Amino acid sequence: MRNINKWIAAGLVALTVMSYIILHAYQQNQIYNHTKLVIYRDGEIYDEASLSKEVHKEITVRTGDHFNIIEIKGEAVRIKEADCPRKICVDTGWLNKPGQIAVCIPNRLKIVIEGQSGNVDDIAY
Amino acid sequence: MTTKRLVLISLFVAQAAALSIVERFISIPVAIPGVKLGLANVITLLAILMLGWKDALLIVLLRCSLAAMVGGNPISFLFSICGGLSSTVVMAVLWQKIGRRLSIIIISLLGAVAHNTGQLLVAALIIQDLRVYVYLPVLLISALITGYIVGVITLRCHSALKKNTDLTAG
Repeated sequence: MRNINKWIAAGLVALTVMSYIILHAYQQNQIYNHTKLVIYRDGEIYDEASLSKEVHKEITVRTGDHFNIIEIKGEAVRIKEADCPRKICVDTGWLNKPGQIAVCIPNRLKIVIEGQSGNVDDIAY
Repeated sequence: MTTKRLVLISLFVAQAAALSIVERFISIPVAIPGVKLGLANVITLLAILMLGWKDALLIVLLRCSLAAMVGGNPISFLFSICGGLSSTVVMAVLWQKIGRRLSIIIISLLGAVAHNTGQLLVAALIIQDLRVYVYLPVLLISALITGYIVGVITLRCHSALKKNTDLTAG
């Protein structure tokens, strides 16, 4: 029964590839005219900013004594600086697709790129 | 509990704690949030193989507490304990149930996958957003790589230690 090892290894590789394909398909499916950045603090919406080519700004979010600096550059967003211990949120790097998320668990902060469909504009037009 | 067993447990705890502390200073040159090699898992797996699951769980608990006391914080403790426990439970169950048929490397791979998915679950619960699972593919790849490395190291250590450690004697 040496085969069982090979089967499990193949299964794990297949699972990894599958998860990539599913993620890719999920992100491809989300076609929006605009994207926006939503910042959550303590699970509640703290701020929103729509993302377009011209935007370039920084938002500082304070949570108690702690801070995270969020940088918006065109359609991409990142957490530029933070005072949390392991800087996982900073290491996450740039986000630019709807559904992408960066979290800073010590500071209870979460930033997500969400899609904004352009339907409302179309109807108004 | 023989003295030899007691000494082995304490050595394992010390080694695992040292490994997880040292590991904080090794940064992996890939832009993936929160990926670590997980060298302390070598000790966890060795403990499962040589001492059984009860002592392995004890070693994981003590290792996480010790590592948290040396420059850790509550959040990193929560993550390391959840990841450590989920991988230990998975590896121990595999070893108990179908251990003879599985290679050590495969057990280590599955343990690493359990570790990463367990930590993601904790992150999703804390942040109350299942969307952190967009990092699952990246973390699965890192689990395959680190799990393989840990498995190879464990295999070598185990065959070397088996020759020199007879737990029934002493």
